Amino acid sequence: MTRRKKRGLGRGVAIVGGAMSHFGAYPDKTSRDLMTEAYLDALATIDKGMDPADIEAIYVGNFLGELFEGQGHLGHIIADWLGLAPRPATRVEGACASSGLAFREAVLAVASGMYDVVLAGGVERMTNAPLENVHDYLAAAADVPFELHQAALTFPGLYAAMTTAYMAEYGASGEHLMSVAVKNHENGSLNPRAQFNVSLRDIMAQRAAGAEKKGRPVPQWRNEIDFLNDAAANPVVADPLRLFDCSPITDGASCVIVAAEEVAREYTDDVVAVTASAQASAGPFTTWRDGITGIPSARVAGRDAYEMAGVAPEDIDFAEVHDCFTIAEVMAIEDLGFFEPGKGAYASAEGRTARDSDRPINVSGGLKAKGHPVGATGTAQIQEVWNQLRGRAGERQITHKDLRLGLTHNVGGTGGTCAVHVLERI
Amino acid sequence: MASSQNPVLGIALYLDALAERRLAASRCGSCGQVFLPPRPICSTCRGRGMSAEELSGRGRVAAVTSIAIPPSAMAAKGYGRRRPYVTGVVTLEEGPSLTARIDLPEHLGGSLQDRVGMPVTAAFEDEEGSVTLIFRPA
Ligand SMILES: [Zn+2]
Repeated sequence: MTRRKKRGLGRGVAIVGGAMSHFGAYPDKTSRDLMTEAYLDALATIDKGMDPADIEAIYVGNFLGELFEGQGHLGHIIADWLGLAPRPATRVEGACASSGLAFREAVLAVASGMYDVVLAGGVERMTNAPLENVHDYLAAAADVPFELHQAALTFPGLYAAMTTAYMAEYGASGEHLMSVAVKNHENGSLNPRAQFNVSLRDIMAQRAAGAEKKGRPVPQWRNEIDFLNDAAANPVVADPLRLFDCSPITDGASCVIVAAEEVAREYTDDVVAVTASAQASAGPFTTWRDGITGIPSARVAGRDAYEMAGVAPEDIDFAEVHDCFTIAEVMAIEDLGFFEPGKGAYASAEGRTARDSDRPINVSGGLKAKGHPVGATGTAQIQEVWNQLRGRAGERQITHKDLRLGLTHNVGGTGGTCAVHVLERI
Repeated sequence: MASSQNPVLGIALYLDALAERRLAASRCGSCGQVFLPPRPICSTCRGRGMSAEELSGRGRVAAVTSIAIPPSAMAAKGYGRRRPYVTGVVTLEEGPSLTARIDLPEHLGGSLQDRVGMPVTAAFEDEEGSVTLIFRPA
């Protein structure tokens, strides 16, 4: 295709507020309840305050309201519940990338000049559904006639298949992947809104205490990897992926408020700009030309984002990436150019993505520990990067390096959709 | 209207062929790329001169997993943690890949990823009144 011009935003766009609800199992909370928490907390983060009447449009990411709570048409429901009707409200669906896309739509709407202030958020209610239905529901994001009906693949199964292709190509092992889970739980232990606000060490101690209390043999694990290798503690879900390779089922919402750069200082003096907004698509992974050891839409979106921001992968100070499974984080850090193909698993095991490393990955705990309320994940990543860039991430704040550029990487399905954003403190 | 000379290249054509124990695909008249399922527009060159083609069913395992927590349709057939099943991706010798179940004998041992690259061939099994595609070691 002939590219007619270099892509860029029509005018500067900034983030002036953002928050996520508590992520976890809240089966009695509806999408409205979850979104209200995220919205009110996001408003409260706006340094100089905001009259909600300033919000001119709403984009809500949501994957499967129809199945999880029998509620479609969520845009107007949320707009009304937040007191924002008759502002235009649009539900955006891109599986696990739904709110990454909603954020992008909000950015484009402001960049176009149509609106000065727009709300982007996402919500998913999941734990009220019977567990046996959840795999079926999530499989709606796959290529249903083939991946689900013909091959009987679940989502863990799809990523497990990618894992064996990756392992066969690069020689990485299950223990390399486990190091991603250890790191993200460690990070999640510092995030009070994470579903798993506990390290694996804490989980091991809880399990041992539970066994002792019930008078059962108390398990003795030498370390986290020993625990993760214990088939009783960490059962196989889709070989070679085990329970702790998978992100959890989560209820939650997140919300970000974007404003044209020219009005942003009415709301804050500590401005974070959106310097790149990129998105790409791909067919089912059977159509990928270069095999399934990396995600082509992520490579394209990453490359486009770097070009738009005028930066290179090595300029990115830290990133929130889509670790729906441990292998997904490994592929993400390769697809985004942080590590060479095949090196991501080894780099993870060597601690080169840890919170105190040169380029911390998923300091929020990632999807793995923070939780993955599918439609809420994209804007949850955005608000984390925004908070880190402004030095307001609390106990988990990155302090060993100056932060200027942060990146988010939000994947739908197995990579049918990918959104990459670069945020910069200006 | 579709006719046998000019079938609609799509999922229905694939499923109809599967019921007759055949693998239907399409080939692009411009660049030669083969697609399974058959599709009307080439995703390589955007050409629309596609013609239906039948594939051999011979290929190699490209990716593989064993599912312990199945979707409900498989759970209803008795699959689960105590009876996992193998499935994955097969790349056919004509070029295209597809997702399908794979029947791996248990005596092979070793790790699943060791099966990547293994030659397999398509078998068509009757399962509850319909034909199910399953690959077996060639
Ligand atoms: Zn072609």
